Amino acid sequence: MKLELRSIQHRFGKKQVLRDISFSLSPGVYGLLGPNGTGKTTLMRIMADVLAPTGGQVLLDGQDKDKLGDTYRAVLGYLPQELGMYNHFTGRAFLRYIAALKGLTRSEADERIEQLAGIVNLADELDKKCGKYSGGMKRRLGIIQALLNHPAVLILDEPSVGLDPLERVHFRKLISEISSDRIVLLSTHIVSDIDFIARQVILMGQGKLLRQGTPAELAGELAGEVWQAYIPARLLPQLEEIGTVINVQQQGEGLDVRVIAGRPPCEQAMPVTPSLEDVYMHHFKSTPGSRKVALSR
Amino acid sequence: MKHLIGFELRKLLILRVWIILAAAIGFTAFWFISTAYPKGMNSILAVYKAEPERVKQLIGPVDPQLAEKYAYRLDEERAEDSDKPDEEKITAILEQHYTVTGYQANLFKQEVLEAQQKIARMEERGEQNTFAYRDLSKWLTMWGSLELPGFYVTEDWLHLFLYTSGFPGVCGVWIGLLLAFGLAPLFAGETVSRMDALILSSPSGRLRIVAAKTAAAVLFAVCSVTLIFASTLLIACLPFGFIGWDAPLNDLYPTWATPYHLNMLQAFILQYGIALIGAISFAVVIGLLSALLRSSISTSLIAAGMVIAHLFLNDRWSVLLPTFLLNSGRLLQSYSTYNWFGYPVLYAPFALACTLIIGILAALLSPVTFSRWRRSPS
Repeated sequence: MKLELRSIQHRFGKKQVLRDISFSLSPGVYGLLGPNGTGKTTLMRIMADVLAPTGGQVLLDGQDKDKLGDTYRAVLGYLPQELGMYNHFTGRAFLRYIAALKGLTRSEADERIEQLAGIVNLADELDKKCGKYSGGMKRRLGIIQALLNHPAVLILDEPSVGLDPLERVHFRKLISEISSDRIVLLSTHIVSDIDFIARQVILMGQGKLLRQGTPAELAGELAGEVWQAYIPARLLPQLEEIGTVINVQQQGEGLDVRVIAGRPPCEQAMPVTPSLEDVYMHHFKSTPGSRKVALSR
Repeated sequence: MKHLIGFELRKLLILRVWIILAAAIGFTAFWFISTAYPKGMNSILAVYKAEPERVKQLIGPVDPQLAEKYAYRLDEERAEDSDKPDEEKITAILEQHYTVTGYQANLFKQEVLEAQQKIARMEERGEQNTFAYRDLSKWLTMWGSLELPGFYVTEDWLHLFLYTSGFPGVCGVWIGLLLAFGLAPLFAGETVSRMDALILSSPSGRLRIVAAKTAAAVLFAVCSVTLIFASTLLIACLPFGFIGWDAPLNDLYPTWATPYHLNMLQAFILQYGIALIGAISFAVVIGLLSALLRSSISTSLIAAGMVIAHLFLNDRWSVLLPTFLLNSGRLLQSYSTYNWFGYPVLYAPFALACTLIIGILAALLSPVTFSRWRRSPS
């Protein structure tokens, strides 16, 4: 199975949100990584057939999704960034409704709901009204609905938002387990969500595709450019001029810093193995708020 | 598909729908108990309850001699309002009603005679190809088939008819409001609850969901009309054993000029059928508005406006609103026609045709409107 995007473009009024995006996906997990507002959600909506692009094509095994119509959507599982639900429905009724939309029979739906609810640890909460669900429970319900029809293409927009650390680990495990025979594309701006499970990472910035490759390939591009150093606090401004400071941690009198730079940023700097987070910071260093993000981690 | 329709119905049946339905039935019960049910010896219904056998002896076509005999009662005050003892009142009420019916029968015969004379004059003048001639001939043909007004106990049906079809057509207003506020979220609710993305991304997210929602709206309309009509019929007529169900429709004063040969029950069923068609068409129109505006509030307000608007337009123009048929008895009350290229067309078939066309157009436009959501999902 192959899902291909050809020259996808989209505008909202005069604003160009996506510019000539092309890539292809085969079974495995793909991480769509980029800061907020770079068009990840718009791209996923186009792939999920929720939004008609202003240009370009989405092809499944060489056939245009618009021509495939219902057949294309029958292989999809989609978790939108903001999952809606009917507050007066119970979780079970909501899932049965989605199953009916996906063409499952009542018995198929009930069997699948029980199975998935067990996996995401929601089995005991299914008969509660959706309006009483916490953010994490809603997210888990969203994951179940996306998986109900055994989708061959799973599109997950910020799936881990609202999940606690333990639920995130469970979720990553679940995605790894189900990805052997299907395409899983998950978007996030949290690198750790995809660091270990993504076969490939697609970096997006300002509506454009910046890079595509395995986490190791992308990290390899920064080999010899990532440094760790223990410095006095007064030297931090100098380091920021030389390179991109991606992490700062107070250690006694001084600071433990991680810097991306073409040369050693200071005498004490030691080269370290680049990570996906370094790649992210390298590409989005000029994005407003990037330093704030780096300092907070 | 059956499952989807069931879910769509379930989404519609929220608290406000049950509140409007309960209010409609509650108001109907209150109105009939406080206004229409007899209090003391104040109506022919009360007379029938007190002395059914005496009333039954008079029921049927009017005996002109007997009507003449009671004619002196027309000079007296209205018998129901008099302070006489009940026994005297019963006699007075019966005789007054009988002689009034006799007068109505004479009027009916007079109308037919005058129309026959007018037609004869038009034929002498060679006006057979005019609209006026065709219209009068049609009227005469229809009236010729009617029974003369007779003496029947139909006060329960009179109140039923006034409630369902008299101004402001309370029954129609309740049905209209129930549809306006109940169906406004049919499509718009998906935007509010942010479910549009999940629906659009599903294999049923195009024609099938529109068909399921439209079917749910139609079922909702059918249930609303049936519940309100059935509850009104039961409240109005059950306490009196449905007396008068087989009396001719022209026995009631609001439908004295009806050209339709129907009894009370047939007229009520026809009214129900017409209201059903109006409600179905209106439901589909509300669905279209809901998909177009993507706002439950705007949809409810426009739909409620349509419910109210038809009350203030004359019949000639209000047939263009699907809400017109909700107040369906108006079509049965009298002989009214349009001049359709020189030929008379009764309001009833014209209004039904207009409403059906509007409903079909709305049904055809709904999928197109819903498909435009993909240009700007919420």
